[in-house]
Amino acid sequence: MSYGRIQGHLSRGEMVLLDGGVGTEIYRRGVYWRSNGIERNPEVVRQVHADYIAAGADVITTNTFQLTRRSYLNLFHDIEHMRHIGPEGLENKAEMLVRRAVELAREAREQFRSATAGEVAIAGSISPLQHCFRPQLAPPNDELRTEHAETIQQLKESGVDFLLLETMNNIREAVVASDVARTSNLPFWVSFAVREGGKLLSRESVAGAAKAVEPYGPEAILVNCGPIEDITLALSRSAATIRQAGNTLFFRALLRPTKFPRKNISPPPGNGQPWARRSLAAVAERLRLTSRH
Amino acid sequence: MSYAAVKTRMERGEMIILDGAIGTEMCRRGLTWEGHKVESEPDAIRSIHADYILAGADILSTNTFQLARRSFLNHFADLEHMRHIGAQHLETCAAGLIRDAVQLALEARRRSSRPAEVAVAGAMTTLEWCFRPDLAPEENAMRAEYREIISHFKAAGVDLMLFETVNRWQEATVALEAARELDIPAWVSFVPDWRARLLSGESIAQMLCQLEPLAPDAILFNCAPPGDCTLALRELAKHSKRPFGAYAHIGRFDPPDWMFTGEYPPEKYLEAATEWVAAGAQIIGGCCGTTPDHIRLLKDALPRRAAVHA
Repeated sequence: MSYGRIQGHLSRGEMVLLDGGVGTEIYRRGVYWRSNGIERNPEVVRQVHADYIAAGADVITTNTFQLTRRSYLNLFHDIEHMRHIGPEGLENKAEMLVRRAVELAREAREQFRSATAGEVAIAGSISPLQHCFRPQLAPPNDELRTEHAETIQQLKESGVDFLLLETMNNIREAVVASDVARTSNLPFWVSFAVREGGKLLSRESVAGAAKAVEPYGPEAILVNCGPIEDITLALSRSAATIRQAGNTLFFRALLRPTKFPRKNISPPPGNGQPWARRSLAAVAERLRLTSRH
Repeated sequence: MSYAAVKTRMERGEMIILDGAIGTEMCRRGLTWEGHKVESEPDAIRSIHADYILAGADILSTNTFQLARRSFLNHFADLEHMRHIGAQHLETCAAGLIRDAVQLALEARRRSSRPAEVAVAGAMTTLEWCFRPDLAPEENAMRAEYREIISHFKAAGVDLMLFETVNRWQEATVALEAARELDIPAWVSFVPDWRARLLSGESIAQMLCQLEPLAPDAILFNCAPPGDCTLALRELAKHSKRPFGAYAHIGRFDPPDWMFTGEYPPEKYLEAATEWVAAGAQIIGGCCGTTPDHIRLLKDALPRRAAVHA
């Protein structure tokens, strides 16, 4: 259980550095985005985690974006149709991949056990049940509750240190997911995807979203998956509200801005070092210099 | 070959052979579906078309599965969000890819030994996901999008439209109306379920009633296992006065790819196709999982004339 180290950093007012993009980095290394790269290229997934640890990340995030039963079921008329024309075992594939994804993060951490002073924490990533950029598709609350509980249980059993509810695009889903996360007894963070104007994709405010999830006791509120300028805007507008929301809430510039993957991305440099490695290390250095109580 | 020639052949009762899969054939040849490969692998796409012509296909279908503005927009909260974070070409790339994909089929035909015998069909599936009739857009929204997409195909030079993997009759009527307005021949192919109905659960007889006033040039079934197509064709045969046919999928849909199972080698696929012919089918080809070898055997072994005309 490595969350204690992160909690220590937060309570002392120290910066916590997350990893960078996992999915886009796997893709950039030439892996076809099938089964999140887990089935056919587990070594690449593991290496991406390892490279982020080497770059100085305090937290690595599981490669579990949208690995849910629903993601597969959405491509069929219904469960009967899926059984009729899909391969055997497709119903349980998401669960199998979630468990394997956590294993890969743990294996990457294991490689560094003796090399680093403190152990990195593994965040189990939970994304919205429907497409992360489509708040209007969020299912009814009972479905949100059942299905998020299922994934959270799988992540917990596989041994993540805490939960990262990320790329949340509307308040309703974030609240239900937070409630489920709370009952798992794992520490959890909630991160909202932002759009132009620094608002949630649903056009709700980040401050309003932070207030809404606060009663469930998240350890941190974040914003992610928007362009850098939107992230900055969201943070500057909502920081005061989040700080006021309660002593248990920590707010730090834990950013994971991403861009929509584009075609023809140049291949990684020959040494396999992630492009982000140097810059992430530089950020780590800078944050350590500027962090204060 | 213009569509008039296909029509004449059908009126004479001749069997028409469609091509087989494009998307899954790309996977089988070591490519992925990602981006349709129209821009990055034009030679590979052209050679798949060429192989189907060599195998004996009378109709080539374009590599244009779900190429619509909507397919890109569906990945964003709305248009504003897409413009904000998306790549710049997303609003217009569907039109460009349709044009280029049609070109590849036309080029393959031009370079073949039998250009006069092959027609190119613009392949267009449902606006939303082909297996989700519940997601179909509202009728008026569909109408504008069908007009737009069909005009791209027509401008690019296809001989007919093939509305395929359609899952409910309402969307088919919108598609056919748009094709009539734009004055281009149109075939409609539905996904059947496993009980001789459309995937939506609608009855085949009801579908025929709805489509009849729009005079579809042919009605087909595709993207279901061969046995499901047989059941659907037998039901269709009871009611249809128009040419009809089928092209089934073989293997399993293993998102985001196709699983090749070997369950239907060409000889076994031919057995299923023979049942379709017995039911009166006049147009036969292959959907996901089929290969040029399947089409070659259909061309060589199926009767030259449809049963109803024999």
